[in-house]
Amino acid sequence: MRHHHFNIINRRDFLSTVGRAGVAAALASVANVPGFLKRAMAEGTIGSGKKVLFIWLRGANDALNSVVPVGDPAYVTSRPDIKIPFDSGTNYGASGIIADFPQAGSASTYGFYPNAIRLGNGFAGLHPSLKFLAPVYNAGDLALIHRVGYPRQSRSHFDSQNYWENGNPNNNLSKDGIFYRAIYESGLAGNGVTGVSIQNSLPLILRGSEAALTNLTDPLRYNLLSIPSPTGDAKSDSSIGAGNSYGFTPKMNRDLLRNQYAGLQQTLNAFAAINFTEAGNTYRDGQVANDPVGSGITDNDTTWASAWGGQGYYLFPTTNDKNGGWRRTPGGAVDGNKYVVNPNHQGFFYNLRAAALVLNHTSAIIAGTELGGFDTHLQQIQNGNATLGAHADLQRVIGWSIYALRKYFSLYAQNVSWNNLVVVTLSEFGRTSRENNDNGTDHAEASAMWVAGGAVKGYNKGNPSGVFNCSTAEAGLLAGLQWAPGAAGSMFAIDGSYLKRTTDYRSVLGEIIRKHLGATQAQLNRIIPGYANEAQEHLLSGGTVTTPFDKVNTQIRGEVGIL
Amino acid sequence: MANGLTSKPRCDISVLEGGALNATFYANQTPEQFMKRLFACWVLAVCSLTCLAETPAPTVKSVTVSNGVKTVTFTPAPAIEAYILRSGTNLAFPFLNDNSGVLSGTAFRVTNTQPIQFYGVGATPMSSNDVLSVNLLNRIAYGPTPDELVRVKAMGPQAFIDEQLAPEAIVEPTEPYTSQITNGVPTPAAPQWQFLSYTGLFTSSNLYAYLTAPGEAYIDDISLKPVLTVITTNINQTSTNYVTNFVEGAEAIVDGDFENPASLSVVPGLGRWVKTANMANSALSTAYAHSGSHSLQMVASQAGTTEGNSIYQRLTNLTFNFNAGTQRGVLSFWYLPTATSRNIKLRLSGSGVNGSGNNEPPAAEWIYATATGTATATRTIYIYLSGNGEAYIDDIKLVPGTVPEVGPNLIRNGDFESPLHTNNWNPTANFTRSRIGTNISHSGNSSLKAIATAAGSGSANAVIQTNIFVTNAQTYTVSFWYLHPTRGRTLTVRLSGADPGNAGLQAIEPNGTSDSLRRTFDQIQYGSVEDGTETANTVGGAALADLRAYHVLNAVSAKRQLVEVLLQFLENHFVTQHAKSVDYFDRFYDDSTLMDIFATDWEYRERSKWRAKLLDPNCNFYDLLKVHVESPAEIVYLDSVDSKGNAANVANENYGREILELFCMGVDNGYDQQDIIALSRAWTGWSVDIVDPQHIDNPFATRTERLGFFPGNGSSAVSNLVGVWTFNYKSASHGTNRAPIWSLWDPASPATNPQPIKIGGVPQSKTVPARFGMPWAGTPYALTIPPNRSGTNGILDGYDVTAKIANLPFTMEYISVKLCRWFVHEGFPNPNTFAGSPEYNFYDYTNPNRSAEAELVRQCMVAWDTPVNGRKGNIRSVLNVIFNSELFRTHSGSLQKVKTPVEFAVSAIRALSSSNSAGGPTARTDGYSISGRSRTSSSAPLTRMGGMMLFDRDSPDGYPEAGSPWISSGTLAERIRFIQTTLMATTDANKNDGISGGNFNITDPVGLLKAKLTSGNWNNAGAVADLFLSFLYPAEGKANLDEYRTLAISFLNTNDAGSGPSDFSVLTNPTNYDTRVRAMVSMLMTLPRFQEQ
Repeated sequence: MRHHHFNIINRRDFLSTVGRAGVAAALASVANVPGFLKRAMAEGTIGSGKKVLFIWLRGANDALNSVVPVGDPAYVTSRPDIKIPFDSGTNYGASGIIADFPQAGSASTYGFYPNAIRLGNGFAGLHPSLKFLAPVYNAGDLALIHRVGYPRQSRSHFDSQNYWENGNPNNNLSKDGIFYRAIYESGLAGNGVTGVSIQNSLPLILRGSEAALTNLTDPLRYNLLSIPSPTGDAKSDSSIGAGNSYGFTPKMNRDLLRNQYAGLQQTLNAFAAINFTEAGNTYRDGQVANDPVGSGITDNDTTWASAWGGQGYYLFPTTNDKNGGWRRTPGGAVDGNKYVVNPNHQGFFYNLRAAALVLNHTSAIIAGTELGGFDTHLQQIQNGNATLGAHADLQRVIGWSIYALRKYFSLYAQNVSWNNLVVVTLSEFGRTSRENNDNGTDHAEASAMWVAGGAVKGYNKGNPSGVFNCSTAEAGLLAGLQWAPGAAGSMFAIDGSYLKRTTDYRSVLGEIIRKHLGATQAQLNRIIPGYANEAQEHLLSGGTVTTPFDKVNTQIRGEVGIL
Repeated sequence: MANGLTSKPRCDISVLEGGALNATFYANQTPEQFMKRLFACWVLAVCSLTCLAETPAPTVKSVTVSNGVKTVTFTPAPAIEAYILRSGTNLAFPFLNDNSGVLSGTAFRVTNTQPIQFYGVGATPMSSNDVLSVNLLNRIAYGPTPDELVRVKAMGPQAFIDEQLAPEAIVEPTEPYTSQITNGVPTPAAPQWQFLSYTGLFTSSNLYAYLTAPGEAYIDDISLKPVLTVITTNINQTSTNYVTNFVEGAEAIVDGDFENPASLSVVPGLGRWVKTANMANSALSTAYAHSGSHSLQMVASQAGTTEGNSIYQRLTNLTFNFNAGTQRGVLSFWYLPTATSRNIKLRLSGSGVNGSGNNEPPAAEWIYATATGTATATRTIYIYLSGNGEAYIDDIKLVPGTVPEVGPNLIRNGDFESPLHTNNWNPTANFTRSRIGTNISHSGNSSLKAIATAAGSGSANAVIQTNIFVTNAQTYTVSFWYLHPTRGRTLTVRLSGADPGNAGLQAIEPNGTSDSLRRTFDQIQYGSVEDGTETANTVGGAALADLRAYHVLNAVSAKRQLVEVLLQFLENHFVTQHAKSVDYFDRFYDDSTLMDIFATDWEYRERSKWRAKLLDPNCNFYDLLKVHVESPAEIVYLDSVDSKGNAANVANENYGREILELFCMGVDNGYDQQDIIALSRAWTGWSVDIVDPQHIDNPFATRTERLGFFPGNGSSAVSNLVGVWTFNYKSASHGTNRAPIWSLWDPASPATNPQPIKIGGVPQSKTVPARFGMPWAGTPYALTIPPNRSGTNGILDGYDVTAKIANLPFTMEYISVKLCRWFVHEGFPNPNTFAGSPEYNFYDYTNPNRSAEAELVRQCMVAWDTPVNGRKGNIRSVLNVIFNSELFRTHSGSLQKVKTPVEFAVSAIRALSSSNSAGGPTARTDGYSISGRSRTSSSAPLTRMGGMMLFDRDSPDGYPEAGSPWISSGTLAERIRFIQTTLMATTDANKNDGISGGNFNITDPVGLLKAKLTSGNWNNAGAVADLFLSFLYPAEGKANLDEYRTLAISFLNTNDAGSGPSDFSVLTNPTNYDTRVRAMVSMLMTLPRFQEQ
């Protein structure tokens, strides 16, 4: 542990003494508050306990094979080779029911169930590799939002990822991110741990000029070294701390450096209390037979559960040994067929676990990581089997991630519980509805988002279904926005085979930031500039959008109503 | 503005009394002004400086008494060598130096026995020249090195500025001239088949091929085709255009590929190759082939000049009247570069198609190599190749010590001017065919032609010289020149010892020098990708990781430091993104290595072109901008590549927007959306294509037709072509401009086709706003592009825009602002044209009270606007203004900036870079250990320190120059770890720090201190601390470093665990001493001040 004395007033300290009322005036009167905290912070409640975890699905997920429009005959004809098969014995048209959850016995343990899983909204099905979403869905904690995009959709990964992150479609100059701006509005930026990504570098969505948020390439690297290592840690660290306390003549960046060196110490201390090591990855999904989170049993075969003390599956499959619960013949060797995810993706779960730990054990408001490999131009299926291969492996990662996060923040909640967390996925665009000649799909327009959390209003929790924009008769959705099946209806035949957007990604993120994180509408107007222009962009309530360049009038639905 | 940036000279003093404040004193007198004068005089008395060095004065902050001790604290001033406390009891008299207490850092402590006193603090500033010298090394170089600090201070800052502003006069050992410190000559230097073509008139049906000197050469795939003119008529709206197209006609040569064994004979005849007497030894060769399995090995016993002494062919396939001498044709062929290939001549009889000047094979390039190593008892030197083939070697020298060519040459007949066997050289085993190569030499008349029938190994299988006068275990340095080893072969010159084991002359580092990297980059431009048999990634072409390492290595070691700094500026200002290029190539290829190489080639070519421009004293902004607009990487990055403006197509606006917003004028500075729409048409047709290598700078070249093989063929036919990707103009996609750009636009005109407001039929132009003042305000600046340019003339639309925008006042302003941010400090906001906005007012040049920053920008604009040799925008003129400005030369510039990650890493290596007493480096890097070994390396320090992916910025605004985007607790942790692992000994368990491929950032601070301090001071903690403080913080002022010094001394005298004392003065164990010094230097470099420049 490192102990240094840095006399930095932060907003949390300040709020704890003066209370929220009159903060702006009080802050303004404090002389040594750093400049980036001086913004008036009397509005909104961002940073008061509600948190967001994001997962970037980079490369553009083929959403049509994630949330499958089973009820649209054009799906089958557009995708003769890569379509997800349907179970002939299942009535996918049945609505108002829970999602199916194929169990072992008929399928192998994790469930290479070969058919689309019925979602119970009368129209849509799930990729079978998303099987573990079923318990989350059935608890009403999941919203699957289809046909998400933005006006004048770019088909460049680069541009489109930029727009999803900076919140300004068709504007590459905007160089700070939506989540950065949300944190900035909290008034907590620059104050300990607020926004964290765990990946190669800080993504644009967390970048901004007034507060440097933190990226961890590897949380285990978040400590300092020494010479000789490791003997001199205390000597080295205390010298850095002491050196930061000396007075120097003012220069342009010296306040910044002093504050951030102090922040470094705070973050080091915060992270020192978290066990990021592999040995510390002991989180499991609880009693199989008596699951406290509800219907989330991982498997109805309890042989393994008994052998391992009834603790169930490891939530974060970071090693072969933790990948899958009933992955062994009890006492026997690891059985690769029983992995919950392809071991290629174990590294992702290392990052995901770190993001979860940071949210759960620090003051961080937003944390996230990314998952690559979605650019499936060719061979997104394996050996002609549409439920295996690269895309299927990625779906298993998504499904298990959301399942695991719900369990983790329910069973191991400390600073944030499942009810105070929203998990959201981003992906820059969807893929062509027609398959190409290489058993793959190309760049297109609208995609799908997953939104999960205890407060999410999914199936039977304020919404009749957890599926949005993927049915012919969705309650509350205007007729023009309902899914129009068949070649004539042509969800699959529009100009080069793409889905048109029904919902703007900004409406989804906006709803999360306002209703969940606690931004005021005025704050949201600054965080996502389009919200300030409801008359034209209709991000809040929906309406007809006329894009300024191609003069195309598009109807969009505004906020979806998931929170 | 932040604190004290535009400081006027001031020497104010705060005076406090010991004990209670005397209110009467302040009420009844005006002591402050009095004291100011008093104090100012005193300060100036100790400054033997120009006015530029006038220093903000330190200020007494508080006087407190506690437990009988009085403490006077004061705030420091910048760049102070020494503080002194002064006191007095009566304001009417000058204060006296007060030495009664102890001055430590910024506090003075004394036993409180004195009566009530007034205190002031005095300061001895650093010499202004010293402050400026360090600032120069921080700004126009990548940070000081110990030796550069001495050199620049000695020569004076102005001389250093003058030197760096004329980089072409600086000898740059790492660049154009080839030198390598290894005896393993890398394969990239080996020759690849080269292509030549030239055009001329068909004057004859006789084609000659010969050598202009005795010797031999290999050629293949000779082609001669007429160029046919096709005129088509194109009705375009209201006018008729005649479009001229050139197409190639039928092949005129028979057996140009030499695949027919009967093709070459001595019997004259039509449509066949005939060899004359002096070419009698020529033959079809199966040893080398550009395509198929054969090439023509030309062997000339004497120089050729015409049919009678050449290999000739009388053409039979001509279907036009060539005798008219009006038909144009293209002659092309491939040749294998060798020592004699420059003598190849192909031409038609008469004055027809006939290469000359640049159209001839270039002279061979001799390459210099040296290596230093230790002799063994064997006393033999070996020269050998790694496989069958040949190489020329000349002027081999072996001297004692580490400096090449200094001392007696121990090699006999090292210049190979005498016969081999009778003069000390003995070709053995696979090398017995080796001989003296006459006519080929680096100096004199001859060289060694080493000929191998199979790989050599040294020992008894090489060209050998024995009984060399060397002493076992002593150090020697070999040097030699070599020429074109057979491709794929490594040439080794080695002194005895086991191979490649422990002795002799060994390569010192993987990937060695920036120069060996440079040659790798150049490969791809010479058609390194072979037809049929070779794959792109095995024949050269470098990847992004190599380019980054090259960039970093040059930043560390180039003598033309300002050029390197400016290259980073240009690369960052004119952003292109490697990954976006890869994204584009993904349309055609599946192989990621190949896509990486192609995309890297684009980035490298941009950089090389800028570099060439910067070495030209007349370089102006237009030159630099032109490199950018023609860059294929830019064309892909900003989406011009598919942009079409013909017919009903609407031009892509991406580049139109960014050239206005980001690359020239600045956001909202002199243009609007309609200008973007209008201007975007100029770039329609600016695309890219794959062409033959000789057309690399020809935007009108047709796509190559050469088929080849790239690994992992994609589905598109393009993936089967071999050539280089470059800027290509597609006239069919071009849309003509329909209205003057920078008009005053009529709001009623259609958004897709904006029209200007017209008064009396005259379109109205925008005018330069009032804030610019004279001579610019009010000037109209619309650009009318001639409408309906067709065919290749359409390319001129883009060049018209480039020429106009390069010198608009807005461009002068915005680029000056960015240069000032780069060189001075970050506090120069973006200008704009909205009257009343803060930025408008900030840059209101008519305001007599404008800030120093605004005034500097205006002075830059004046320099920009003043032609040099008839051209505006001279870069050196603008830089000279900045470097001579008060803002740059004083404390308002010094240490105001935070280092970007690349600046941080490079400056850390440089800060400790000198020579130890044995002449070895005290700090070095292989480049890769800073910038990574793969293009997405997550373990690269530059990635870890905030994702500074060189040549791969994902956003068109470039990486930020301000501090706050870079500095967060996460990035600080990585910066600190970088320093710590760089300072670690190579044996330290954590040295590698997970850097993929290893950490070759290597430092030797003990070697540095022992070279710079007399031995009596090696265990003097104060002297050691002072030495490194002077290297690391040379601009801070010694007095301001007092607390760092105390910290460093205390650190040296504390045991490694930090748990107790350990007397540095008796620390003699070399390992423990080394560790202690490394740790102390590491500690100093991880303090906040090292983040600054």
